[in-house]
Amino acid sequence: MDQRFLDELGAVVAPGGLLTDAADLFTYESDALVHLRATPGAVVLPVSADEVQAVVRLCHRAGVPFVARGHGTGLSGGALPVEDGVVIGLSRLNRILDVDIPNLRVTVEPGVTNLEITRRVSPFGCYYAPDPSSQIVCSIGGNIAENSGGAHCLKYGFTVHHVLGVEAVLPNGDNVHIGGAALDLPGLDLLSVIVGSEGTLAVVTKATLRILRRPEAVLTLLAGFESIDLAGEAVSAIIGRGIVPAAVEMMDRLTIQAAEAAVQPRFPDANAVLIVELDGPQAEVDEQFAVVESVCRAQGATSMEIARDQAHRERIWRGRKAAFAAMGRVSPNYYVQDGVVPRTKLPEVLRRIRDLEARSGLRIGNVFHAGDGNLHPLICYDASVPGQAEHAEKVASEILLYCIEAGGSLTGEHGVGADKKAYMPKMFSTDDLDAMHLVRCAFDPAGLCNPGKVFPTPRLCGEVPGPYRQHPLERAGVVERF
Amino acid sequence: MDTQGSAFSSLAPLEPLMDKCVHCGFCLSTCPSYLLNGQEMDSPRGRIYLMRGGVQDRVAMSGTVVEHFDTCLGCMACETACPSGVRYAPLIEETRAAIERHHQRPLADRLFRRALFLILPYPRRLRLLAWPLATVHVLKRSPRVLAALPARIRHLIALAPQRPAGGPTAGDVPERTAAIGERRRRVGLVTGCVQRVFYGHVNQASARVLAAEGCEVTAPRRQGCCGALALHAGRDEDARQFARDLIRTFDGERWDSIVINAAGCGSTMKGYGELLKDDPAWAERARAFSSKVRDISETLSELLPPRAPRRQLPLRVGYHDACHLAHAQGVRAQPRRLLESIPGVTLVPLADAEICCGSAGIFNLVEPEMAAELGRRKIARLAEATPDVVVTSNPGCMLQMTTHARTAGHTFRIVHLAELLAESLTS
Amino acid sequence: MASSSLDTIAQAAHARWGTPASRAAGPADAILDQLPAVVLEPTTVPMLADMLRWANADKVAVVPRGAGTKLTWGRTPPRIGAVLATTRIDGSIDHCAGDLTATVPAGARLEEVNAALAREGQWLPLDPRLADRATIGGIVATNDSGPRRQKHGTPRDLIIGAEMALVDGRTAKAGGRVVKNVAGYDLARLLCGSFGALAIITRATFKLAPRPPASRTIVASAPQARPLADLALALLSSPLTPAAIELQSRPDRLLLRFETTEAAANQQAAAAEALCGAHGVDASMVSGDAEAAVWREHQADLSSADGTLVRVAVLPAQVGDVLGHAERVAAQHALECRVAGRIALGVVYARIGAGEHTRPSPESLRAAIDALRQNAWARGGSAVVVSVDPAIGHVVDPWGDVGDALPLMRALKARFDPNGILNAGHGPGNI
Repeated sequence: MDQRFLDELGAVVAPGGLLTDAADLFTYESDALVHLRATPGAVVLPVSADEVQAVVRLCHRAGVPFVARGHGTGLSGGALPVEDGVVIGLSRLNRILDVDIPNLRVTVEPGVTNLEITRRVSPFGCYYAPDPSSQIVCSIGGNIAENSGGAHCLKYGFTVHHVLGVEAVLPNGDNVHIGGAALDLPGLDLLSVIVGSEGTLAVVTKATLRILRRPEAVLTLLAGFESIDLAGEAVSAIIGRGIVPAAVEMMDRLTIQAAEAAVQPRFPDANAVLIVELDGPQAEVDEQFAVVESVCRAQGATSMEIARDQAHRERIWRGRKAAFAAMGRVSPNYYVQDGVVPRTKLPEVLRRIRDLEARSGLRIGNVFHAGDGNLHPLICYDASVPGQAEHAEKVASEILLYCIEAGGSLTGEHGVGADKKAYMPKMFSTDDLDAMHLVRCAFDPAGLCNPGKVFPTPRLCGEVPGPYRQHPLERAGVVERF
Repeated sequence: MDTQGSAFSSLAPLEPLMDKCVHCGFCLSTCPSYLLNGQEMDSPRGRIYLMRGGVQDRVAMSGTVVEHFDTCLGCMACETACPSGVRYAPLIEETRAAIERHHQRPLADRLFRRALFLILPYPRRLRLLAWPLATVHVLKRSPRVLAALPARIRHLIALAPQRPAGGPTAGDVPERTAAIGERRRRVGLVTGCVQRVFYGHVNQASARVLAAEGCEVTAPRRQGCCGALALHAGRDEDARQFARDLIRTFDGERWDSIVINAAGCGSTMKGYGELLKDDPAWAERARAFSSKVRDISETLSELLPPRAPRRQLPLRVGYHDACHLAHAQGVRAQPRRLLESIPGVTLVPLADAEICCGSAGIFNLVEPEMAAELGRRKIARLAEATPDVVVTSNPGCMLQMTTHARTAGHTFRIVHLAELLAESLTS
Repeated sequence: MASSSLDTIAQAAHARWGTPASRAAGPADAILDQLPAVVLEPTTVPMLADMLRWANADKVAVVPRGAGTKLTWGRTPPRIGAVLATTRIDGSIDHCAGDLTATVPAGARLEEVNAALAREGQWLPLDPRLADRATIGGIVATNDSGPRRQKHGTPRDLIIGAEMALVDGRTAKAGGRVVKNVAGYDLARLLCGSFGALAIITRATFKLAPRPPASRTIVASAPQARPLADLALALLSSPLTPAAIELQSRPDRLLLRFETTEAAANQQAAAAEALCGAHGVDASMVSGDAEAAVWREHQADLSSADGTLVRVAVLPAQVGDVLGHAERVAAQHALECRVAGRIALGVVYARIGAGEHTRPSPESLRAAIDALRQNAWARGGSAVVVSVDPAIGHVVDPWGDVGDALPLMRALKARFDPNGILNAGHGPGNI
C-alpha cells in the first residue's frame, strides 16, 4: 500500500488508530468464516463518526476499496478484507449514546454489541428483540449489515424491523441521515436496503433502534421427541392452531450431544428436542401453552420440561445458542450451512439431507429455527483427512440447492457475503440481479464499498444517462418530461 | 536466551488446542484487553491466530507481537465464554514462556520485572518493602514529585495499601488452630505471599471460620510462594521450583484438603499436576497435591448448613467473581451460597460481572494504564449496584478495587469472603 | 398540454394494444381535475411490462394506479400521459396456509385477499384507509396502514417478497416466499412507500397472521385530548399488548383494541379499564356488533376525503404537545382542525378545513401546514400531506424537507427510471 496514502490515513485517525504491522494485519485476514482469507493493506480503528468519514473520503479519492468490520463474527465472509484494501474496524465506536425509555428508543454506535443494549435497558423492563446466537459479541453495525435475526424473529421480526434510523457515511464520503427516531419520515425507504446490504452500500456510524417492553409472561417448553419428523409435525400443528410462538427451535441428537458437552443445558436424551417459547399477556400464554402441550403430547413427546423463570430459561437457551460452536466438541471440523425452506417443506428437505448424510459418509447435525424454516445443517469433517474439507463443502452446497428447489432461500441470516455469491444465480435471474445492482450503483458507482460480496460477478456501474436530451415528442409539446 | 529453532516452536505440540478455536469470536466481549483496545490482536481469538501464525512461521516474535501477549490479563474469561472448549490457559502460559526464552525486552522493562520477581513471591522481602510502601502515601500529597516518577512506580504507589499488616510477623495465623466442636476436616492452609503481607487478617479470618465449622487448620510456618506469579509471567522454570517447594512443605501429613483463600494461587495449585507432569520425580506427588486443593469457599460450602451460629448482617452485598476462581476454577455458586447463609445479607447482581477488575497478578504493575482503566470501569459497575459491601476472593482484586473505589470516593467496603463470614460469627 | 398531443399518445397506445387494454380516459380517470391521455389496463404482467417499455422509449409520463384511492397523495400530479392500471391483470391468490404466507397480485383488493385468507383462519393484518377498495399494489406503494399498525406494523413490516416491472420492460423479483431470507438487497421493502417512483409492483408476498379468536375494545373518553395522550403513554409502559390505540377527536376518545384469545382479551380489557380509571378517564368496554360499529365509524372518518389530511409523525411522548400546538394553529388561522390516529406510535392525522361551508383560503391552509411542519421538524419528526382538497392542492408542498439523503434518493430514482416517466415529481421528496 502506498506510503503516502498510509500517512494520510494515519493523519485522520487518533493515535493507535492505524494498523500497518504485518502481524497485526494478519489477524484481520478473515472474520468467523476462516476458510476465506485476504490480507488488508491497512486497518483503521476510528473512534468517531468523523474519523470514519475522513477515512472513507480518502479511500474514495484514492480509489482504494474498503471493508467495514464490526467484531468479525460474520459467517459468510462479509467482512473479508479486500487484498491490499482498507479495513475499517468499528470496534472502538462502542458507545450507547442515548436511552429513551418513554419512547422505547436507543441510539448507539455500530460497535456496541447486541446484548449490551438489552443489558442496558433491562433494568427498565425493556429489551432489544433481535437475538442472533452470537448476540454476546456481534455488533449492531454487523447486525444492520446482515439484517440479523435470531431465535425470536418468528414473532418479532429481524433487524430491519427494529432499526428506525441511521447516520451513515456513503461510499463517496458524504454523511447522511436516514430515517430517525420518529416514524414515517418522508422519502424513499433507503433504510430497507441499507439493512441487509452486507456493508456494500454505506458505513453506518450511528443507529436509532426500537426496544420493546418485556412481555408479562414468558414460558419456555423443552420437549423431547423420538424423531425429527415427529417434532416437525408438532411445529406444524402448533402453527396450524393459530399460535405464533415467540420462538420454535429444533435440535437433533448430534447437536444435543455437542451442546451437552459444551454448556450442560441438561437436554433430554432424545432424537430431537423442540424449544417452544411463548410470551405475551399471562392469560394468552396460559391458553396457548395448553394447546402447545397437548399438541406435543399428541405427537408423542417423550419428555416435557417447562421453564417459567429466567435462570431455567437461560440454561435451555444456552444449550441452543452454543450449538454451532459446540460442534467443535464432537467433530474436529465442521461446516455451518444456512438455508431456508418454507416450513411445510421441512420434512421433505430433512429427508433429503438424511439421504445425503448416508450417501456422503459425513455426519450432519441439524439445529434450526423450525418456526421459520431456517435450517442450519452442520457438516462434520476432519480437515486432516485429505479431501474431506472439499467433500464437506460440496455436501453443504448440495443442501443449499435442496433449499432453493423447495422454494426457499440460500441464506436466512448469515448473509451471502463472499461465501455464497456464486449461488445467487440459482435463486435470482439476471434481471433480478440487475435490478439489485441499480441500487448498488446509486450508492456506490465506483464500487469501492465492500466489493466482491453479494453479487456473483463483479460489475461496473454505467453512468447515469448523461446530459438531458429532449425527446422529439417533448419538443413537439406532446409530452413533458418531469 | 535460547536461540535454537523458531521462537514459537515450543508451541507446536499445542497446535491441536489451537485447532479447537473455530474463530467464532464469542471470547471477544469478555476479554478485558479487547474491550479496552478494540483490536483483534488484543483478543484471545487474535492471540491464538498469532500463535498459530507463529508456529507456521507466518508471524515473527516482534516487539509488537509480544505486546499483544503482554496485554493479556490471563483472566481466563475467554475460557468461560468459549463454546468450543478451547483451553487458552496452557496456550498463553507456553507463549509467555517462549517469549521469556526468545524475546529481549527493553532494559527498563527487564529490570522492573526482575525486581518484581525478586520481591513479590517472597513474603519476607515483600514485608520489608511493605513498610516503606505504606509510608509513600505521603507522596500522594505531592503531585509534582509523583508526576516525575515513572508510570509504573506511580502506579505501585497508588496501589500500596494504606494499612500494612502490623509488625513484621503480624497477621500470621497460628501454626495450628483446633476445630471447634467435633472435628469434620483436617485442612492445610496456604497463606500466600501478598495475602500474608497485606491481608494477614484475611488469613486469620479464614482460620477462624474454618475452625468454627469444624476444621482443624494447619498453616505450615515455612511455606513459600505457590509460583502463580512466575507462571503467569512465563517464568515456568521458577514456577516449577516454587511448586516443588510448596508440595514439600505440605508433605508428610494426611490432609482432607489443602485450602487456599487466594483465587490466583488456587488455580495454579490445582494445575501442579499439569505443571510437573514431565518431571518423573514429582509428577505423581504434584497430582496428589493438586487433587486436594480447594478454595476456601469450596470447603466451607461442603460444610453447609453452617454449624456455627451466625448473627444478622443487614447488608447489600455484591459478590465480585475473581477471575481465577470463576473462570479458571469454575467456582461461582459456592461463595454465593455461603453469603446467602448469612442472615440479613441481600446479594445484589453486578453488571459486567465476567469482566476482570484489572488486577490480574502483576498486570496492574506492568501494564498500569490498562489496569487502571479496567479498575475504574469495574468500580463504576460496582457502584451502580449500590452495595454496602463488595466481597471477593483474591488479594489482587481487593488491592485493585480498593484503590479505585477510594479514588472515586466510594464508601462501600471491599472485603474477602472469609472476613464477612468471620464477622457473622457470633462468638 | 394541447388536446391534440394527448391524442397522439392515445393513438399510439390504441394502435399497439387496442381496446380494452387501451382506452380513452373518462371523467372517473381524472386526477385532481387532470385527464390522462390514455388509460392502459393490461391483462398480463408481460403486457404491463411492454407498456412500460413503450412509455419509457417514448417518454410518456405514467401514473401507475390500483383502485385509485390515493392518487391525491404527494405533489399534485404533473400532466399525465398514461394511467397504467394493475386491476385487470389476471392472477390468483396463492395462499400457503401452513407457511403463514400468501402471494397476491398487485391489482387484488385487500378486502378480496382477506376474504380468501379467512378460509384458513388467517389474514393480512392491514387496515388502511379505504380498505374496502384499496389494492395491494397501492397499499404497498404508499406503505399505508391503519389502526392495527400498533401491533402488526405497515406493509413494509409484512412484505417478504415482490415482483416488479422495470421501466425498460424487464421484470424482476426480490426477496422470496419464505419469512426469513437475507439473500440480496431488499427491493420489496424499498418499494414500500416509493409511490411508484422506481418500478411497478406486480405481485407481492406477505407473511400473514392467524385471525385472533376474540376482540374487545375499550372506549376511553375525556374532556380533552391531553389526558388521553398521557394514558396512551402509560399503556406503552404497561405489559398490555393492544392491537390498536387510536385517538379520536370531537369527541375526544381513545379506542383501545385487544385482539387475542378470549380469556386474554377479557383480561387485558379489564386491565386497560383499570388503567383508565387510574388516569381519571371514563372507560367502557364494547364487543361484538357494538365494537364493529365503533371501528367502522372510525375507519370511515379516517377514510373521508373531506378537507386536507396531514400526517404528523413525532416521538410518542411528544404527541400531547403536538395536539396542543395543532389546536393553537387552527385557532390562529381560524381553521377547523381535528387530530386522530396512532397516538402511541407518534403518528397522527390532522384533518384541516373539513366540513366547512367555505373553503379555507390557500394562504391560511399553507400557513397552517407550515406551522405543523415546523413544530414537527423541531422535534425530529415530519408532517406530510396525505390527501388534499383538489381546489387548493397546488399550493402545498406535500413532503417538506426530506433531509440530506435527498441526493441519494434522486440517484436511486435516476438509476431505476432514467427518463423520469414513473410518477415523476410525485414521489417522496418530489423525486
